[in-house]
Amino acid sequence: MGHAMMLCQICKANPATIHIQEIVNGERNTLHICSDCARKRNLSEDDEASSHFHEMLERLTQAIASSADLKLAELFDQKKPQEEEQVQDLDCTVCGTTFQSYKKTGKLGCASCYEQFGQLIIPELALSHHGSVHCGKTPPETVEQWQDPAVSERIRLRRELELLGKGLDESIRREEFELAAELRDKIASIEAKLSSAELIPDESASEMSEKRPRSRGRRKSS
Amino acid sequence: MIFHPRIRHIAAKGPSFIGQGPILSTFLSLSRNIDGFQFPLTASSNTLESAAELGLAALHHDEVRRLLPSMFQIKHELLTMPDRELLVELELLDRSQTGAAPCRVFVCAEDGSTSVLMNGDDHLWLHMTAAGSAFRETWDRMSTLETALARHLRFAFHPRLGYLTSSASLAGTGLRITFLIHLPALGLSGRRKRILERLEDAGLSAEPYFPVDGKAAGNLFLISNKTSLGEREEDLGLRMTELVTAISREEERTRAELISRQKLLFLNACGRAYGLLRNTYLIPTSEALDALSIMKLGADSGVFRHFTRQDWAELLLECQPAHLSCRKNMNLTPGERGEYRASCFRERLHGPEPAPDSDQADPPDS
Repeated sequence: MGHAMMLCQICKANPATIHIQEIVNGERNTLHICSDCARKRNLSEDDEASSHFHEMLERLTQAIASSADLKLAELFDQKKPQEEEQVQDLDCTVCGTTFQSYKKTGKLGCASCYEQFGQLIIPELALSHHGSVHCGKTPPETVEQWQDPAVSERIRLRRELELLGKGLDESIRREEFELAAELRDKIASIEAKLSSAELIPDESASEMSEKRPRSRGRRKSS
Repeated sequence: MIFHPRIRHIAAKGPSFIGQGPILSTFLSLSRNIDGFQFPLTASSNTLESAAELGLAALHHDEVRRLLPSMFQIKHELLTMPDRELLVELELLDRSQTGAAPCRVFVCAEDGSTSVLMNGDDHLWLHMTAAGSAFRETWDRMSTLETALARHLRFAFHPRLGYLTSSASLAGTGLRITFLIHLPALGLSGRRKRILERLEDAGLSAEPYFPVDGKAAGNLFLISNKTSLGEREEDLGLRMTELVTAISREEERTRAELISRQKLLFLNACGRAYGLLRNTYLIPTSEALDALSIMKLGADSGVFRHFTRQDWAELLLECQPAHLSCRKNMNLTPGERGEYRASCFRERLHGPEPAPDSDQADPPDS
């Protein structure tokens, strides 16, 4: 149904050509206005909307920027500041070398450091070297290590010594003194076995070709 | 006696690693760690002892001993500080490895061409020296030795990162190639700094051999690779050889130009250097090295009749602190060294060397 000819409720002069229905607090209000007043009102509403839009744009821009940073960080495998702090605290579970100490000295403590810090150091290596993939000599397929039983035995004993040492510290910490005494005796026994062998003979007096390295430990086992 | 007889013996043999032209020496070192053992910097003394024992067992294997028939080994702790200094001057030990550390063993060929340090920065540091530009021959020797050792020692190796070394800058091949080069003419022409700086672009570094107040005493430089991952050993060595040879040619070309354009000044410099060394009674290392540098320039150009390039190489070694102490067989203070160094020069240059002969001064290789 069309509206009968009405005057604009704002200017009361022009015919009302725009009819706006608003529902405020459950009550329906109808506003009849002319096009001039509508334009004026719309403009002011646009201004208000515009300021909201700018705010929204600003928020959106910030969101896009932070998401872009995130994507770039992912792209270059970089860590966000908080993660970086965590990275700085990384330490090798095998030798205890920290990533911070590596950054300071450029030195790694064991082969596992390369695995554990790999994600962080490989991009660095790629930049400072000719890429990040080795090309050059490779080890032979067969290695005849551990052939000498005396050497193998001493290496085994030294490893055992280190484990016993850790066990001794732990038992003392727990105040398990009987166990500590037992471990101490075992350590002393292994140390005695190892010290009976001159492991690294000094060949200052004779040539290696004349004297091959022999140790009392080796003679014992033969 | 403050020097180990074995080390004295090598020092007495003279400068086998110093050649004749601008490229004086080639040094190769290869770093390796034994698989399953922590690197020396973090390893316990038990681990170091095991690593040294395994390393020595491999070195004593018949296959390896055939390659190094005249080697001897000394516990690093038994070497005095003067011994270690002497080894550094003989290019058999790196200066960074002279400090005390547990379970280090020094192994060396009697001819002074090969040394092995166990439990330095890495479990094994294989080092070879050669006179002149000799990458290919030296690498062949090094590679053969490393292959023989690798048959009896399992080295720490990663399929992507290559040989794992304590210094990440050596990961990959573990190879450091260094050339010792003498560049006096390029220094005089003012072009040396720019040329050496450009080596950075090729992944190389140029360091003074004798740094004194940031300058290279004796115009001697060490040119080394800074990269070891992503390039085959042979490719790196040949690329470096090409670059160093190009610099050497430029040095020779500049020398020829210097002599042809400023012969009088050149002869004057040679004569004054000779006069200084022949008549000095007290001379510090850096001054001696600078004078020796001009003497070498003169010897290369045929200015001196009696002073040969071999004389120069011997004097270059003899004037260094540990060599002076070794010769005197006693520790010398810097002042005593200056005096003794001067007397060595006077003794060596007492011969009937006439004034530099202007007719003999020819541009080298021209």
